[in-house]
Amino acid sequence: MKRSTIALFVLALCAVLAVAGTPAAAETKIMTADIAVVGCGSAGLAAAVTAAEGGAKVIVVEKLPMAGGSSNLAEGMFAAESSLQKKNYIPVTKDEAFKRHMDNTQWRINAPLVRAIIDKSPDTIDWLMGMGVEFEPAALFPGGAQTWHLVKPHYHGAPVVKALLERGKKLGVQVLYETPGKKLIFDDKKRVKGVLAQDSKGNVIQINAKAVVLATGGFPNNPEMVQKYTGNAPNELFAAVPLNKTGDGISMAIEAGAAVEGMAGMMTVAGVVGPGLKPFCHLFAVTAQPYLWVNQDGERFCDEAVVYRFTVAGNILLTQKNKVAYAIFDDATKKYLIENGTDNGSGKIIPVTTKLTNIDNDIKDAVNANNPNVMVANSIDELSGKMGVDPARLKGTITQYNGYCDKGHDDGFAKDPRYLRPVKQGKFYALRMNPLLLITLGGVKTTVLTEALTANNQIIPGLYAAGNDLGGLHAEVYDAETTGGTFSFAVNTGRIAGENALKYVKK
Amino acid sequence: MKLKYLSLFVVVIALLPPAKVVAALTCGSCHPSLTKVLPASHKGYQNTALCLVCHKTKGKALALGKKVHTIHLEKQGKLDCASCHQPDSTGKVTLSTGDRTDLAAMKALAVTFSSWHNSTSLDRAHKERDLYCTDCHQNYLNGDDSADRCVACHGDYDEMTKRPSSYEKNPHKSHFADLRCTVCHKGHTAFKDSCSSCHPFGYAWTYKKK
Repeated sequence: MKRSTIALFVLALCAVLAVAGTPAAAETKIMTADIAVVGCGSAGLAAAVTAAEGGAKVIVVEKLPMAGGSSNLAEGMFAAESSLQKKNYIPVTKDEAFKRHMDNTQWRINAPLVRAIIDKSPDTIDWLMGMGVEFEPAALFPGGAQTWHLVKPHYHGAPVVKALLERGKKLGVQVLYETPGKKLIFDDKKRVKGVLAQDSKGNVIQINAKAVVLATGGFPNNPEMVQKYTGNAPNELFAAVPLNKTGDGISMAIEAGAAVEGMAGMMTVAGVVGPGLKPFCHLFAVTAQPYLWVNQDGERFCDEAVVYRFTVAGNILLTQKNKVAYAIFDDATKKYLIENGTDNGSGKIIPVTTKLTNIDNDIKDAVNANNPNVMVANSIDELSGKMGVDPARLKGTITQYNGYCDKGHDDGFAKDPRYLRPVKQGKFYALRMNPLLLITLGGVKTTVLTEALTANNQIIPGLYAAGNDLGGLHAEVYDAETTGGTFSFAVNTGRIAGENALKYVKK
Repeated sequence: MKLKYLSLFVVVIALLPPAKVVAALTCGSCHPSLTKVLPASHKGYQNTALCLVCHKTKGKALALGKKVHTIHLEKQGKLDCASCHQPDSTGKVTLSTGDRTDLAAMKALAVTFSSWHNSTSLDRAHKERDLYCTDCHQNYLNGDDSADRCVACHGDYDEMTKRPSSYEKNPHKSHFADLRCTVCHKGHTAFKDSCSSCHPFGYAWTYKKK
């Protein structure tokens, strides 16, 4: 009886305290490092490991519960004159690669930095091979330069991330997961003195550091920024890699007075998605083939062999009505793809020559799921109805195209005759393709040493950018001829940022 | 008689602002005879300050917290933290790991303790193997990432993928070298399939080995 009275009083006490006491307030934890890195992808890790190799204490903050971001998914990285290329008699030189990249971007980029990256690229391959990463040289498309260093064994970048993480761990690099960087902090002389981050419990983590490297991977998953900088609305351009890359590094830099450049640049790809379709299914691979494409007006608009430079295919859709296009084929072409295999790969995930034996199942799954992007019809009239295209114009286009196929020359857009496959037998198919956004290419304007610059070209002391947070490498297009460019540029700018941040903090 | 005074005292402190509350309760406050609550092997122990000599958060004997929280959860069904953990003059409670917190945060902690005691989540499974909070966590409150602890006992992804699996696609063999274990294997709530956030078609679980 008496004991229960006590219990009652204790409960009353609890109630009073619960009302009077404030809820658990978030704390500020202060940590100290020589260099803080924001973002633990291949750029951030390369910066962290490089600085730690030089003796710096490095703390990396990462928004996701894992390292690597989209580098885990990148298939391979660019390099010229690597030991591996030499070993395989692959003759691509640094000079050639540099000139091609500059020509293709019309020199509207940071030429000295691109030169520095390309010059560093062979050493970076050796650096990573020294950590146990294995590569396999390759070209992206027929006749393309073999600058691509595919990451073995699965042509996914995960082993690069793993190797850098393990090397970082040995060197004492500390990674704080689920702790996004929020704000740069400066001393009274406007020099960087650290970064504020926030952990998953809401605590503020203040990292006092003499230099900060921003490497958060750009802004593909931030629809407002995508619309603001690229002019594409969220319903026109689909972010295909859901890794929560929301432009944190670029926004922090802008807030600190940094200038940005090349912000409209994107790596996109054309593809069919929607209910019933798995990513990189066999039907998706059909949208990478260089056969007949038409737009919403039922007209051809390009040499469909643009698919070999996949990001050109993605970007070209953005120029068309409703930002869509249709891949049109018939049963004969379907049979060809099932029996003979593809004429172009979807990267190395569905390699070229893959026999698309699952096309029929994919079509069935999509149709059963009422996927509006997959259309099957018994006639061109019926197909045009499903596409919402004027039947006469579509028929006119197909008749004209079949004529080019018969005579073996594409009078329209001069496509390689090997890819002229007529549309006339059996059932007809249309796949509505959308531009899929993989990564953004614009970012902070920097010096050749990756130091962030203001609009007046003043260096912001102690602030560095790397990877997709760094602008000035790609102009407004991704140059597919510099195959493996973004992955390689991430690791190489990360190394350059790490080296220079190290020099800066040792001053 | 004594208890009456204590009740009066509790009423008085309950009415005071929290900053003036002083720790007052011990095991003895509710259990005048410790002999009645301690196991036979502990006959003769009367000073509860000695419990922690053996039952440390890390040590050979089971953590006192595991024993005390378990028994109170079994008897009462829920934890009333403030029955034992009283705030000091600043309104904060000091826990055995040295963390300091307030009663509101402790109330949230009680939910986790209940889950550990009696849920279908991983915390209960660990309790059944005699593990206590501090076996995975640095402290009771916040900020620590227990995923490294998972790896210390269970092995990393390389080791996990070597184990036999009943699925064709081994979810431990993913793109991500160091995805935190706790992203899928939540300690205190239900399992969450992280693969499905990008592969929303039952990627890992559709293809059972025949």
